[in-house]
Amino acid sequence: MKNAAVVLNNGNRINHTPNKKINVSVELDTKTQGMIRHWSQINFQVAGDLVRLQTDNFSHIQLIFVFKKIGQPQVANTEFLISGAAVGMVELMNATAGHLGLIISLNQVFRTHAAKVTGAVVPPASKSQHLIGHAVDCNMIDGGRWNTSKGFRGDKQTDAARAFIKIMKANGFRWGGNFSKPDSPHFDAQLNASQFDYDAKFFLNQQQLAASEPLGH
Amino acid sequence: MRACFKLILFAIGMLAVTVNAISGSSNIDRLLLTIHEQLVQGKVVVVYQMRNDDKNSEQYADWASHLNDFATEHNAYYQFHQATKVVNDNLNSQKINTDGSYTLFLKEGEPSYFYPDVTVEIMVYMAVDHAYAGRLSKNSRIFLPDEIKVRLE
Repeated sequence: MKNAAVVLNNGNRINHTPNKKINVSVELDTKTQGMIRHWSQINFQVAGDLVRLQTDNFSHIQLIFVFKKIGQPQVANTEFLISGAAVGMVELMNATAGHLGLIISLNQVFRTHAAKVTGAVVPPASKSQHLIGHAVDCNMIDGGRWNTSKGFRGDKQTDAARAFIKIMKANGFRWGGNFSKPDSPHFDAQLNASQFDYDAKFFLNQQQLAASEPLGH
Repeated sequence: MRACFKLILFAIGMLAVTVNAISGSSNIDRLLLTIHEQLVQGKVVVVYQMRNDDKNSEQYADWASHLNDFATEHNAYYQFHQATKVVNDNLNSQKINTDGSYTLFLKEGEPSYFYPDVTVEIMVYMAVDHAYAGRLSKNSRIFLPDEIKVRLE
């Protein structure tokens, strides 16, 4: 078995053997299974690319008090998980917020997926950039003023928030406020959800957490 | 005699109308009845209407995630119901546009809160929870939806 990590075109790192004995809460479709088998046959080891980021390392990023902890022993209360391919987005958010005098308050980042959630009111989404660790939900705090969905609905966002969004978009990231169904707290480094890359990353990143595989930082 | 006959006919007619109304409402107002019962029990009733059928949209994903997270942690006091036409027709408030998505929080003897969309911030639920618990902080207040006067007929 090769142990050297391989970086795919989409930024995924392949460096572990898949463990098919592990029960995960995601569906592995035939196409994804075939590709993972192929990687395994050509002696690659495959794994997700989730990393732990420590909020203390970001001067202008904080976790809101209701931030949902992942509940995994490897992940400290002051840490959040994100795909290695989206770390640059968080770094840009921090730098831009610092430049504009904003604090970015994170509400949710990586999201675990379960086919059935006990007590759920509605079916959870089966596809989302959060499920692969490519999305961040946040509020921009400008001085004492919070930019909320309610504020964006009334076009009452602050000038710094407008500038922040403009910079993020100019660097290739999507802002949910521009979606046909607006989602103003949402930013993402989109990976096309209809392509194989998404399916592979979905499986690998969900498995990485479900199987307590090592999380980098 | 003729007057008596007319009176009997009138009474039968009224009875028929009443029976019709009762049987009709017992079918179509089941959800309304449930909501009323839950309100009497002191529960917070959340009526939501999601006008986005695209379950692959990020809005749906965020809404569903926050709603389910909040619901699973507060299922003792909160009841969630998807709006129906009957509920919409019986919401007595001009401020609610029932054509679009919305989230409405109701609690007996307390203010009602209306958010004119689905909520993609869990803090909106938390703010309402804090308001009903009488411990609304400055930061929670930022996310509190608008208070409205509304009655479910």
